[in-house]
Amino acid sequence: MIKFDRKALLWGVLLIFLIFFLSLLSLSQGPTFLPLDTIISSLYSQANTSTNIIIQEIRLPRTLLSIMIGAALGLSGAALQGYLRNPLAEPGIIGVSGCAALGAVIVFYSGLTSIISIALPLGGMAGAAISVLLLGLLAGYKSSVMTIILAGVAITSLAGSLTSLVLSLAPNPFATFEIFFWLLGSLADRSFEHVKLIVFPLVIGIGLLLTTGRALDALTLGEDVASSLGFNLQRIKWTIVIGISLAVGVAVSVSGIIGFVGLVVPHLLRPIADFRPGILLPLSMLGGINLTLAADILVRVISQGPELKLGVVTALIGSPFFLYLVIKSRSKLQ
Amino acid sequence: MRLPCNFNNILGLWLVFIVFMFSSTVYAYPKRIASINLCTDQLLFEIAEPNKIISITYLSLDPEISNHTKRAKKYRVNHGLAEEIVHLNPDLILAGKYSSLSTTKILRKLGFELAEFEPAVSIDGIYKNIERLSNLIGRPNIGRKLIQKIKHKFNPNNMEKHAKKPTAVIFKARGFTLGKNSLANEVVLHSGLINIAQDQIRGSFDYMPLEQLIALNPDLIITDAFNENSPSLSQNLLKHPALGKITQIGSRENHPNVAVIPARYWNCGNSFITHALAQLKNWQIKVNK
Repeated sequence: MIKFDRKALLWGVLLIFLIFFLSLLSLSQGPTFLPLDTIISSLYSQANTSTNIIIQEIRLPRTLLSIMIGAALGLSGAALQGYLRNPLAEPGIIGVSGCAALGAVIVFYSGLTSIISIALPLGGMAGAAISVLLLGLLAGYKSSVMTIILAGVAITSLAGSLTSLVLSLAPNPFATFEIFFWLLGSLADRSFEHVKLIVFPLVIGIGLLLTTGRALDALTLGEDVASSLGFNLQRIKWTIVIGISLAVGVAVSVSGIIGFVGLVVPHLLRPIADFRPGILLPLSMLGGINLTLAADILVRVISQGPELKLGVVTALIGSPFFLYLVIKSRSKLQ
Repeated sequence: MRLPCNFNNILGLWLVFIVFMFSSTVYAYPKRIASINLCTDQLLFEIAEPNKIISITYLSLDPEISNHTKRAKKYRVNHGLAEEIVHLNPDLILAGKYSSLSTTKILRKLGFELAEFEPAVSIDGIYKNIERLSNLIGRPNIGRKLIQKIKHKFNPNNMEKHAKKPTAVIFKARGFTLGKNSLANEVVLHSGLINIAQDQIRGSFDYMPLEQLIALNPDLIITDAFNENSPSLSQNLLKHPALGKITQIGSRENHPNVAVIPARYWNCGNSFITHALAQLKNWQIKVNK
């Protein structure tokens, strides 16, 4: 059992409260203004009115998807950073998100999703799994910080260009417009069908990643120490690979690539977790939810008319942060 | 042997001469016409002699946006690139006003005869384009007949006038909607419906959030048909469960409140606009019964 110290516990509670607050705010954001009491009563109402349809069929699934996807991204970032012992690791940067999008794009535009809808999350999962295995092959999980990042950059750009290629070759004339969605991510006009489609694999993936907390704690002392403490390194590796593939794979298959959430959140929360990955994992999950909810609210507040893509906002927050991390770690790397 | 100098022979020669002159003016009309725009393709199919067309765009092969796919298969298709057109050596090239500027520039520079057509944003715009093209290729009669055919259907006296005007919103893939100064808007108005999107959007077209459509709650949602075989997220928006539910609001069970008008009827201005009008009128009459 992980021992939570009081500081982490306090922050955890605070983040949960913030999730409730942001969820309400998310439900109240949209092109049509609806007062808060109407929104809350709409959540329970059975009547078929346009207000109820807006809340129940458009805004509620959107908010739930923000929560689910934010949890997957925040947690995956923390787990990858802990496992690779690499401060720059993040699903978006090491190519997992890019390959998940490629997998989803292939099954969607080939028409497979029209036949069986479950093909979409499966495609995302397959893409994510391939990228994690490819990364291991290219760089090795034990290699230096920079080797992994370089391999990730290569995988990301390959996946990005293949995604653009598939979309350009797709017979549907709208496909080329949709490059933006897949590469920048969005939660606009998603429905409960998407929630249902990803909820089980996502929860299993998150569950798997959360179980690695103690092992990651031990890994901070080095692999030899971890295995002498009784942790099976192979098992940790596969739990992480499968957990990331499930969580990030299915998340990207319905939202496109939302970058930097997994990078920013663990870094902000690491001091609170006293640099212990085991505590950082659940905290990052909560933090990821908050950041994704906030970004998705911001997207709706700033853009009038056609919506800004969610990935634009997270990148605007995340890339200066990434630069800061690069500068900070420069002295260590030299 | 008599010399051909009597009056009859001279008259005969004159006749031959006049016929020759006349035929030469006929032959001055373009014989090799190429089109690099879907809408001019469609007009050509309606007006030009089939053997005068040498190339049309590949878009005319798509049954969702083209009314003449069968005929289009007989021609060489182009993708709007100058190179494809140059070697065909056409004596008239039809382009859209907003066709690729670099393409039309090159074609002009190489000395080709190029006619650019404004996209029709009103029924009058259709008449203008038909008149211009039919004069340009020497078939003014065909053009006039075509215009008459459309005018008959769009006669203000035939306009549906009911005290109660049902509300409508055009909602296509990606939430594409049309408002003032658009061809579709005029057709909707003529069928006796009110396009309530026209006061909601800034220009003549825009992308409407799904939520806004639900909030507007129109009597009729006018949308496109789409092909299941090549899916897209843009078109999947039309399958959103919220759209299914809006059709059940209030006492709507009596009549369908989604009208599917194929894009090929009204994305370009040509005589098929009458089909779009007929479908909307039918719906409107059913509701007002």
